[in-house]
Amino acid sequence: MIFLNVLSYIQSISSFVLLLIFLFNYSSTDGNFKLIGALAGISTIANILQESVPRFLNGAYLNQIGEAYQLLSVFVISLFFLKLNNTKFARILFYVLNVTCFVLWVLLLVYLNDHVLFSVYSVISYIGLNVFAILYFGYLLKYLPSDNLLTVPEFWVASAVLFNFSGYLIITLSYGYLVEVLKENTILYWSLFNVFTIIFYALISYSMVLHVKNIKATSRERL
Amino acid sequence: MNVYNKEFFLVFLIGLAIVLLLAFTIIVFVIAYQKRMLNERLKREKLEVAYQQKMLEATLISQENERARIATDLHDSVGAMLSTIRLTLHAAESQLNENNLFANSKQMLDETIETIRRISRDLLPVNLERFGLSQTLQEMAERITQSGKINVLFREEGEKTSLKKEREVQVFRIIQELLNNSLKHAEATEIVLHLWWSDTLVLLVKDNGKGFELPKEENFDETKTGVGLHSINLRTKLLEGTITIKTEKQKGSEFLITLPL
Repeated sequence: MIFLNVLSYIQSISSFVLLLIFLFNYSSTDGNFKLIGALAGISTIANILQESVPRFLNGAYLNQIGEAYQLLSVFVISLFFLKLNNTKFARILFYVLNVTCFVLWVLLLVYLNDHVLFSVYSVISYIGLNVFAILYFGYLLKYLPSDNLLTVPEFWVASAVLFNFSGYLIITLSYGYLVEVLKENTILYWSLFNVFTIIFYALISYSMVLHVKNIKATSRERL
Repeated sequence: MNVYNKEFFLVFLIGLAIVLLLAFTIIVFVIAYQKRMLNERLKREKLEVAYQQKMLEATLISQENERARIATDLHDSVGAMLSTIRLTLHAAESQLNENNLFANSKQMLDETIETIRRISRDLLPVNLERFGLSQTLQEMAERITQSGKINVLFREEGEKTSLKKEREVQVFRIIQELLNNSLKHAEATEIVLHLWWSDTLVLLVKDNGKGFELPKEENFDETKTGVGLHSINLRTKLLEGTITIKTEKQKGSEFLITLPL
């Protein structure tokens, strides 16, 4: 339990660190990375709420906060990729994914704590985001930027998304079994969620630093 | 942990590993593919540059050969014929009384012979082969100064390095073109021609003329800048050099060309 708590705190700190990097370099980020900053902001608020709300409301609404965060993060990340690779397919995927997630989120508000519905909601959003990341990789292969890909911040965001949501997907697909069979032993599995989130925010923070560096270097060249 | 839990744990771990491996493979594939494609693109671009360089070299060499042929024809055939006519006229002059008419014809002929010599000299810089770049440039500067229209100050610094004949001709053509530009278009009264010899050869041609509007295109498209600048740029590229131009309206222009030796 302590282990899970520690991971949970590190996860909260990792998104907060990203938020700080974003806020300190706000003027050196372009529109797309402002979305990433917004994601960090949403995540930090969700983490604070998840820590504070149960103390006052005796555990109620804990899942609803997570579900709302998930809906917003799907919107922000898919919008990030849509702005990078605005093809017809990406636009359709963006609308279908966000509308579906919104409908499922509303249904989750109605049928509170429905495990099957939550699994469907999560699986759809994770697959959707993975498809966006893969589409962006396809776009990179098609248009071949002349820079080393490891210096392209968007590449790190796509890698983080693909890696993180692939992991989430497998854990979520096991969700039903975890709840039904393992019951009290599920805690270790959930800690994996935190591990993936920490890696996700670490990679995104790195991409944000790279982005700020690139923007500053470009401004210096212009001078 | 019971048997079912262990089995589930194993399946879960394998599934997770496979999916993460797949994600990792996609990422590594994208990096590797991009590197490979960029390398191929770079190779292709290098080949294209080398091909263009060869084409350019061939064009300039054939241009030089053609100039040499025309210069030789002018000097040996037309020049010789004109000289013969001059001698004949001189002989006829002493037998006739129409001295004035003959004197005019002789003067015109002298001018024609001089023009032919000048054209021939410009087309084929014989002195370049005989005495080298420095001497030829010195003579050219003196000749232009003696014409009285413009003062050319020639200066040279550093330890001279002998250039290959083809490279020397290209350097000479660049300077010739720059001086021609100043003479024809700049309305300048003074030109500074400065050469620095070290690991590189740095040429500075500066005039106090009216300057010109610098083209935006780096490759100096001849349809927009004229043949002169285009040709200077091509020759500099062929010599793998760089060119820096500073120009200001009514204050003159400055060409700084750095060529590797």
